[in-house]
Amino acid sequence: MSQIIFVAAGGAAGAVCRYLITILISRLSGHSPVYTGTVAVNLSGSFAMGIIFGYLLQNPVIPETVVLTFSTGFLGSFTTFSTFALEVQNLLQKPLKDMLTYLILQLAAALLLAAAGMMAGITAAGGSIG
Amino acid sequence: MIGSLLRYGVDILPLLFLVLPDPILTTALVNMTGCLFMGIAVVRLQINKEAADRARLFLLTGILGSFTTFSGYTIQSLELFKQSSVLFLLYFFGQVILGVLLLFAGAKVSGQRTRGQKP
Repeated sequence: MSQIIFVAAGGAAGAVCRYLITILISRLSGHSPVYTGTVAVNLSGSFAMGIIFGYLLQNPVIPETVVLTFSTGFLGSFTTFSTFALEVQNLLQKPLKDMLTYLILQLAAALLLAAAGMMAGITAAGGSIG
Repeated sequence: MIGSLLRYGVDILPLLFLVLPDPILTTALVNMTGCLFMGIAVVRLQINKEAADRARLFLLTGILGSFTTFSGYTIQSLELFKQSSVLFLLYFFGQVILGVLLLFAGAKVSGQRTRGQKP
């Protein structure tokens, strides 16, 4: 039962942070449909998830509560797939270049960042990559 | 909070665990249902503009935004990449394509059902 509290706390914080970043990025980018807050949260969230995942691979004794709070709760909530799909759908009505930029930016960069995060996590836990 | 708890609920649902033994599949399930509901909700909220602003934040940003997850999707794509490149491609691109299609489907059904109602 107490697991729920950790997921809920992390999840609530993640959603609020996503909302704030969305507003901030939207202002900074002049309400661009391509460079959105969703891109920012999904990329930074993928990197952070990579770090946690890499750390866990190397050192699986992290308490479950930490994983539930930060991974399932915070990062799971902070990043979003449904808004990503919604923004792709919006961009289908815009020039193809915009949608390609959005997709490549998010899909390719997220994978690379997650991989980089994973290596950082493994190294941080005292392991070596190879 | 509600969204992330629902996602956690799907993660630990014992019955579902028998059908989808891999956490990789629960992420896909959560993301795809989330896209479907996103399509439904977006159209509903366009039609009913009055309640839309607050409802949008609660439903779209809050619940659906948290229910679905992108970081789980990328990290599990990487995991699959180590196992098989075919599975990786299916999982990675399949979710994007299916997600957008489901979002369209949700929006279409929702639009038809509410057609005729006064905005």
